[in-house]
Amino acid sequence: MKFIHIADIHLGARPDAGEAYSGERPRELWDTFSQVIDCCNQEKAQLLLIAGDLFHRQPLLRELKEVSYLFSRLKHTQVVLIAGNHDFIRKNSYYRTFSWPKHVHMLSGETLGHVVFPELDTAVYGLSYHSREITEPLYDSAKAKGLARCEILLAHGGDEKHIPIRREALKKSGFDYIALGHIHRRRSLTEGFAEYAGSLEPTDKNDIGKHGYIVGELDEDGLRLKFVPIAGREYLHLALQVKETMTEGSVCDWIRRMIDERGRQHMYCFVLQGKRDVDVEFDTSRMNPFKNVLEVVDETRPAYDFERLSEENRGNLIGRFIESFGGCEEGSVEYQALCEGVEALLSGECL
Amino acid sequence: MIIKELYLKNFGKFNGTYCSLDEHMQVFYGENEYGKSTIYAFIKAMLFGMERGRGRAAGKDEFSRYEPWENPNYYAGEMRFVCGDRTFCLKRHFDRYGRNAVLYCEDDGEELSVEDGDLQMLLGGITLGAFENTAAIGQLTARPGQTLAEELKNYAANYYASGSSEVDLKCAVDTLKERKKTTEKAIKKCVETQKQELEKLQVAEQYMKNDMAKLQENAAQEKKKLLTLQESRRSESDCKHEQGEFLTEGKQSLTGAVSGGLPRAGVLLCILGTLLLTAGVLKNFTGNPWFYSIPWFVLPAGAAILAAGILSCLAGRKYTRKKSGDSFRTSSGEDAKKAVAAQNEIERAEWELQRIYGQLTEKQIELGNIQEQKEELLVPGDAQRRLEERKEALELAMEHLTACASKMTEQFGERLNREASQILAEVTEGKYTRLFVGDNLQLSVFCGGNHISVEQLSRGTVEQIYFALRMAALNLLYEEKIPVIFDDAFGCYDEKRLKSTLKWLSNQDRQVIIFTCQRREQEIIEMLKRK
Repeated sequence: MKFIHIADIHLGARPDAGEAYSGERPRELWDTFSQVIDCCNQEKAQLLLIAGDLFHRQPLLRELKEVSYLFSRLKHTQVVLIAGNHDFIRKNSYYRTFSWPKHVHMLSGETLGHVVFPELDTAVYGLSYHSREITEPLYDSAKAKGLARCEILLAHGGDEKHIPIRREALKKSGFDYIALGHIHRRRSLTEGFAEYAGSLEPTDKNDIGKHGYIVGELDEDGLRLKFVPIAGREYLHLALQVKETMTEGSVCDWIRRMIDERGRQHMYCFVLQGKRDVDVEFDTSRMNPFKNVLEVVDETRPAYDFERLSEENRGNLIGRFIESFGGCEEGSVEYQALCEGVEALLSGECL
Repeated sequence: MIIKELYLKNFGKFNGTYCSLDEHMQVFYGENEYGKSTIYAFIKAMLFGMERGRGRAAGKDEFSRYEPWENPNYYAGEMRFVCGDRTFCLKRHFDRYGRNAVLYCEDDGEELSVEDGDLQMLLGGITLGAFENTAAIGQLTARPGQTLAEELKNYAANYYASGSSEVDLKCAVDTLKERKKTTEKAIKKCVETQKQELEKLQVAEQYMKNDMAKLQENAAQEKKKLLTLQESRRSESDCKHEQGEFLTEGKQSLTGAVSGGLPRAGVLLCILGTLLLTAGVLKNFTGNPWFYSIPWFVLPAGAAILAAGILSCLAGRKYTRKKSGDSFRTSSGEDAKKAVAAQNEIERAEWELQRIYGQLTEKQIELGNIQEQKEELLVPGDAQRRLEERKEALELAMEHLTACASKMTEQFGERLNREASQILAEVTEGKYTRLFVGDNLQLSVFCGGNHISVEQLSRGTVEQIYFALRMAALNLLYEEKIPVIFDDAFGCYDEKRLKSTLKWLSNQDRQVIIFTCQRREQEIIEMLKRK
């Protein structure tokens, strides 16, 4: 039995993708989802598992119709989906009334339900969110009932406010595979058994890494999984260790080079760290050569040697000022205050 | 620390010039262009090195100023000095390519490293800036647009509040304030963008609500229309029903007694006939004596009456049917068409109502999504959070700075005041016995029971207060007795005060180097020495 596992498609979302790509991004989410449908046909997958958050918000009827159309293109594939915390089944949700094609099965109950595919000798279990948050660990008590040879749990959540998941409890659940959604970065809860597919496309600047779907094959030989990246763009977080020799221009050049090396189609967040020359200041708003930079966070501090400065200025205001922050941690607000203060004291440039 | 000897190998106009210094008081007397300033610059360059300025500033910095005209690649000097009973030799090359510094102890040959800060340690941690602000005294000069008194006040204020004239408290606080302002502006911009975003959503929300209100209105209308249609159909069919009855009745009344009573009379006849027939049958076939009284003709009469009753019933019904059938048949073609049309209209209205309800639900969901977006917007973004943090940091820095400064004024300022007052009293031979630092670091002197603010004092006296403050700061801040250098500093001193100043200096355990273009310093020192 071959299946494709996707999650967190977030159709209808408008992710911040920088000046260059924010406009077309909502469309791209649909396009990639449509590609997955094609992949199902090519791979002759028998099951398409959607582990929640197909939509970013409450789906509109026209959106459901669109999705339904895309599903109708499937040639060999049965679809099982659940509602996640984003598209949870609200009182007036269309999920309640929409009639899906025959080969699409929504497990819309608040408690664990299942659908059995006798021809595949497979049962898929799952439940849907009926509220934005669920704090009970609903999956901890989930058990495979032995309705078919292959038993799969479709689950969404895994953090404090969205069905906390205990890995140990899942291990004893008796399922053959647990298709997880909600966490946007692809990762394994238990390698080869409980996997987060990650969001199909990155929808937030923190959704770094590759994004795509998982192809799985489950038979007598066991379970084989493969992650297939499909997302057109990536969010990349890059940190630059600024040296005292660097200026705004050289930082700009570095950014340009980094983007050229990794591809202009991606979306970038840069962090400047380390110590900069005392006289240099960075205007981060000008560090966006291709309009695909979301932010440049300047965490650099002027290259002061506080110990030496404190020693040199023992007894005077600078010394006492430094002492007054005695041993504050780098990165804290206190440290920032120390840097700002010393900078102001040493700049000597009166306004 | 005592500077013993200078060797200006190649520096400015000097070329291979030796210069040994008195370990107590040394006066360099010379006319203009003698090279006093060059020697002064040389001492500074030897002690603190000479950094090249960057960019355009390089054209005017000391490096360029004293770069030898000939042989600029050989730009160097030596200095011998005593520090803590040990004699050191310092050699420096200032030129662009071969810049280096060598420091070693002449007593034991120990090599020290200028780069690692050994020289600075020997100097007691004093920096070039601090040196220029304390030990090296020229004439007090005012910055453009400032009076001398203001300049002195600035100088004093910084000393009182910061313990160093290199540190400009007001300037630092202003810088922080300015930065805070910029940060606040940036935060405001963030909030503004967010607000705009929110407004956009609100507009969308309003549109949605308007649309929904319109749809609801449409729905109400459509519903009303549907109800009327349904009502009219119902009343029409009721009407037809009634019409039918009315016709029957009408026909009955029309045909009147002739035929109207036919069915009813028929029924009566039927009942009567049945009764008679029954009675006849009972008489003839039971033989019960109770029935003997019934006449024989009852049986045939009963049969006849029953037959007549049935006949009249049938005739009456037939007539009625025929009659009403006639009255309907005249309009039934049109009516059927009308009924179908009415039915279609109702269906259309129902369908329309369904459509409107569908749209309403769609809008309802869209509205919900917009409201969700609005809620999400209320959480400030990362950029704003970072700015808020920076603002917090700036405020914290200001807080600490002011707290440190007032503590400084309290502790160091008090000591500085005492020390400077003492020096001032000696220099002015007891005329001004006390320096006062009031609120906002206002500087005044105490003279004969009166406070006199520095603005009211003569230039000479202001310079003497400046001198007193510098010397006091030097004494308080640095343990190492750094040589003090006066570069034409006594121009405004009168004979008397110059004498008392030099006398005070000669009593200090400190090397004094005086550059002057007047003879009187030399003369006074010789006089003091003779005494």
